[in-house]
Amino acid sequence: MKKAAPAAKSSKTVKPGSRKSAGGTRVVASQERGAGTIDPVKLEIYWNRLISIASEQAATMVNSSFSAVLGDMEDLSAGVFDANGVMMAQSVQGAPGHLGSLSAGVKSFLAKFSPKDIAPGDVLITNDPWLVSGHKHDITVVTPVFYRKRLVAFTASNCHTVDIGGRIFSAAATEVYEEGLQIPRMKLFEGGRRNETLFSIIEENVRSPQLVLGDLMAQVSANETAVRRVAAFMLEHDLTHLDAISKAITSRTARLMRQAISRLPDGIYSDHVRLDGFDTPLEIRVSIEVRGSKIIVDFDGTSPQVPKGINSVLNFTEAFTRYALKCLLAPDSPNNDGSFAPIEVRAPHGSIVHAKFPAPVGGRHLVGLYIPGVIFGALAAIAPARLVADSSVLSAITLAGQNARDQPYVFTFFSSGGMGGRASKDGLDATAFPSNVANVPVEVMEHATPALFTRRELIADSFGTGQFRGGAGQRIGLVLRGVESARVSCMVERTESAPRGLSGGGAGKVASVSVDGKHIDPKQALILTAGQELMLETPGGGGFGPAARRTGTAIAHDRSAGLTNI
Amino acid sequence: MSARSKTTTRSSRDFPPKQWIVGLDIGGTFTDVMMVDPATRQIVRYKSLTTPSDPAQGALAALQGALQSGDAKPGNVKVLLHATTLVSNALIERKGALTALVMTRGFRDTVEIAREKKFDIYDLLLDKPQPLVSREYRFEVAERIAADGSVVEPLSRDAIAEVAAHVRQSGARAVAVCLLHSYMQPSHERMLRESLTELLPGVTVCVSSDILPEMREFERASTTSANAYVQPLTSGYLDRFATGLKDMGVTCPMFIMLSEGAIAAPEVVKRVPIRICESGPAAGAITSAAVARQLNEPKILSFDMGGTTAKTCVVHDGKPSVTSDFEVARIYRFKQGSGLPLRMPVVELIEIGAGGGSLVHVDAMGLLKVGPESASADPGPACYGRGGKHATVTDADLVLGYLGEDSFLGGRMALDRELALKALATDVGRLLHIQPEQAALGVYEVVNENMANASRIQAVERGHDPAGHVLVAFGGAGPVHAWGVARKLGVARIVVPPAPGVGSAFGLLLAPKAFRLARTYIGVLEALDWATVQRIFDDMRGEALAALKQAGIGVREIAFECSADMRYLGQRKEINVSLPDGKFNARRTSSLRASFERMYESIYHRRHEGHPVEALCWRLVASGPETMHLPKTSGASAAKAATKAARSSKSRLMLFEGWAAHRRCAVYSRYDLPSGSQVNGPCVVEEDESTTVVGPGGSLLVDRYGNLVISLPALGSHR
Repeated sequence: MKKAAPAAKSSKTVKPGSRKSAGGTRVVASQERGAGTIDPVKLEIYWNRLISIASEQAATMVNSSFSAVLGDMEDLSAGVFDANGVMMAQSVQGAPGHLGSLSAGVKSFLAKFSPKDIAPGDVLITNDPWLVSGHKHDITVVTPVFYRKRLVAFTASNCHTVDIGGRIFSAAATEVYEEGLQIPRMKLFEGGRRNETLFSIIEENVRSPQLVLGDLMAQVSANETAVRRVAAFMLEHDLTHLDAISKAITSRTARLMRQAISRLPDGIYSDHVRLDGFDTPLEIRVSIEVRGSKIIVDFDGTSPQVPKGINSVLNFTEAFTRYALKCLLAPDSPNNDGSFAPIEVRAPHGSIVHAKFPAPVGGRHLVGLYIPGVIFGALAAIAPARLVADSSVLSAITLAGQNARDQPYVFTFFSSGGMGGRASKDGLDATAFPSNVANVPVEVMEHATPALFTRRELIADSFGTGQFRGGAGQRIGLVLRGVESARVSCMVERTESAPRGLSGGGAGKVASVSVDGKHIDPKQALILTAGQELMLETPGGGGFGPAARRTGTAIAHDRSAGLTNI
Repeated sequence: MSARSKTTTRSSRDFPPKQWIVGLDIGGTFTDVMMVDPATRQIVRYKSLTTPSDPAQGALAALQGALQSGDAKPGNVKVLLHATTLVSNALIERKGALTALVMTRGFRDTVEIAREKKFDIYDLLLDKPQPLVSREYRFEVAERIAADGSVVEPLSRDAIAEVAAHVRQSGARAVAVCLLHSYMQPSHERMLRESLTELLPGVTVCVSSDILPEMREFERASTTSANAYVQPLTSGYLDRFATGLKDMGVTCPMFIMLSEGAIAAPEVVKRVPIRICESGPAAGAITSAAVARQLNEPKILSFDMGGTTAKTCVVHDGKPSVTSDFEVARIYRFKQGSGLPLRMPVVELIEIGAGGGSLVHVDAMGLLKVGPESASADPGPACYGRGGKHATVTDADLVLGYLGEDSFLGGRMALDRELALKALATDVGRLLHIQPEQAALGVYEVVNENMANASRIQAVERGHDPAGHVLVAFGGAGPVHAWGVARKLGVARIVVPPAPGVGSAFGLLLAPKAFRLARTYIGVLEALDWATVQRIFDDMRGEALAALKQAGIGVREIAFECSADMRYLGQRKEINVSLPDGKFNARRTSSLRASFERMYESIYHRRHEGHPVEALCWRLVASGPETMHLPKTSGASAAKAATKAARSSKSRLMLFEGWAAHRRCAVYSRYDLPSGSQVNGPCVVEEDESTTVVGPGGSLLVDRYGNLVISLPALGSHR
């Protein structure tokens, strides 16, 4: 066996981001003891089992959820961690931004609670944006696994909640304080007893307490399911601890990642991308250094943070950086802390990719979702096979108010545009990338809100042209029914910064939001009144390769489908 | 061509006239018949090649053959139970009718946009499943119903005429209609159903509120489109088959196996043909469940490998589990989400493209791959000598000596070893610079690994180690490959039931005659109108009684199970809660809530105290007795049967993993091995429709029911 594969994120050098003392969260598995002693056949069984436990955890969450954001959009993640907080397995289902930051979140709990502070029946909770996935709407729940009276593992989940108080889900805040209730790292259950104080604080601070608490309990149940599965698994295989398995899994994964990096030519590769910005344009700059079997991604030169809720915390930036690199370099292997080991992320503190407290962060994905595109752009010359041209940035529209029966409601729906054209295929039409948030059926949305949708359709010629065209964006329209007005909050990006083509492909069409045909501020809240039609157009993906090389069959196919009229 | 099979005659009495129960299963490659006369326990098995261009022809020929070989009169067939791959094949191969889809104005892209998410977040090159109806055949109609069921925009005559003209012009032979909120208010869909049927003679019309009255427009449109797509084909097939049966003199009732393991009359199937999508595999799962009950084995992995695919299914406590989350035609073998969603009850199983006819090739990276493409029945594997030039799994099995050149299908079909060697040399040996014999071993290994993976995933998904299971193997190729699969899974025991080659046809005979009915009536428990609930159950009971009576089952023999799908108000997924039979009235509210909460707590570990509970769907299962019972035993007593070492009459050269060259090994005939016989591996046991392989270190015992029970050496001893 090779020596010292740091199983955790030992290489992360920059993490002064939190005002909380994040020190002590480093968990470095400096030795690979035990990793070589597990029979590879057994290891495969153990490994698959842990992944299936995490996936069952995610499925339990979805099935027992109350809201559409969890039940339909699946904006969530779930994972199984060893006693040191090292992620061994994550759910197959889930969103990359959540999956990639959950690991940091679990370690932050270990920095606050020592093992002797954690007892069976405890359930831990936080929604601190700097500790997990970057905004208060994501609630993280961590449950310890005790086996034969010893703390052997953690199960954790992270879900987007319907409401967290403060402003409705938006990018309009100037400070994080406006963005709702902040739950520090604490116990939601202590020795099996509900923390009634915390429950009632949440209940009185959010707009749809039944949905919020229902979903929270779905997380608690799902973690509990995984806790029982881990214990049964250890009993079945007569294991006393999971450390050796954890080391074996993460070191193998890290080795695979290192091998893939080693195949890239050494050098420094860079790219930059312009965001919509506000009064002044914003920019993400990246330079990627490939050195042997290690990659250093540096966001130096990226715009300073802004007093608008789009700033990304470092955890979230790291999540999408690692996600993009994994897609390019090792897409087939399961994800765990091992894949993070050879990747170092640096970013200027106080920038839009490494926000400093108390910057507003509610719409941090509006920045974070640009990161895969800029990384693909930088590595275009050296990792050509799996490249993707720029894709859309997930749009969110939140509706809130009183429904026809005078009950309060709040509902966010996410919508994707086109994925960028790929090195050997067209981009996928109206498909979530780089996020993986599903849409909500129109029928579900109309039950939950007074909206009546007028259309949800692909937009012809919205994609960048190319040998492989981008994916088409979509047009979604709605009017109100049975109420006089509703508050609408938009979080729509790429209304000015079009998804770029790659290798000679054309740019995709930009996004827009309008009311009765008139464009409105894509990051503001407004009052929609009865009779007005709100229309969202999501961007098309950039094209890949010169359009002149597109085949006649592909052109004819788009024409007969009515996707192009040119 | 057809290959006949043996008749096991236990009684030669002709009087009273025999009353044959016939199971007929059309698979991708073979059509199998198994018929039994319960009074005399006479059994007839028959197998012939499927006729893909018109499966009814092959089915009729197979039935004719079976009747002849059993010396049975067509008029003495009492009931015919049928399973077919017709529907799933049409969906996988995209060979259904040219279909149009009509949706509410503004929403024709619903099936294309689908749910927007990717089934694999890391694979940047993934494809999404293409909708069955492409964009130019998707039309919109001006109308709108709101979430509460009220009409926002009425459906006008003009709008109907316009959409009818579009469909007519498109040349579609079938049309699916899915309008928003039709599960709440089906009036517009019904108007379209009547009008389109009238305006478009000869075009099949399916509306979503008939097929799947459930919320979520994408899944409903996908399911309805699939139903329309296969409807003309299924209807035509069932009509041709019925006519053929009548011409033959078979006038008994026929029932078709549904994907969920229950049966239904042809009229029901013609209306909702997608419910027979997994007909054959469901019958196979029932065979395994019967074996599990016979042997009192709580954990079974059912392994059914035929000509084109292999199916694995986990059977715990004698019951295969049924799910409504089903996808057909997955474009990525193991990936959930890569198929077309069908919301229909189906036995939970994994199917992969690995069968005897699966083609072997070497990919761009120089890796040996098997399937999912198949040489199917025509031309078939190279060794069939029917013009197939490419190597298949069957060719490898022949080269390894597991199959005999002159004993395949009971000797009715000669296999050509030279052709098999040549194909393996061309397709594999030449590219990988290895001898065709080594290539054959590689094929056996790779296809077994694929199948073991599928089983492992399914067992593990339910939190179980496959090693703790007993592998029940059937299908023509199942017993040939069970040895290799079991070794990969660490399984200690394999059971090959009698007549494994016609396993699904066998399952048809074992299936209890059950009807599953469901009605949607949504409400919070406290606000339910119990008279409505009572009426729903009375209706369903009446319908089930009539159907079972038609199947020849007396009222007293019928057992009813009532249940309701319930959830906490607003929750994503409901759970099925069984309800004690009896009158439904308001007094049952609290006991219903209590049953729900008990069930909920057992799944989710907690309750939501005080949160309202709603019921959505009311279900009734009415089942008659099993047509045939397998005898029961405890696991130990089967093994206690006096063992006697059997002698082989034949031998041939075989090659097993780890051997440098072929060695001579024993070949037994299953018909010469009475209960209690014991043989040691390496050897094979041949019977007419299959061959059981026992590798080095293994031993085989014939238990008192005629099952072949193979014990494997402990893992590691051969690694």
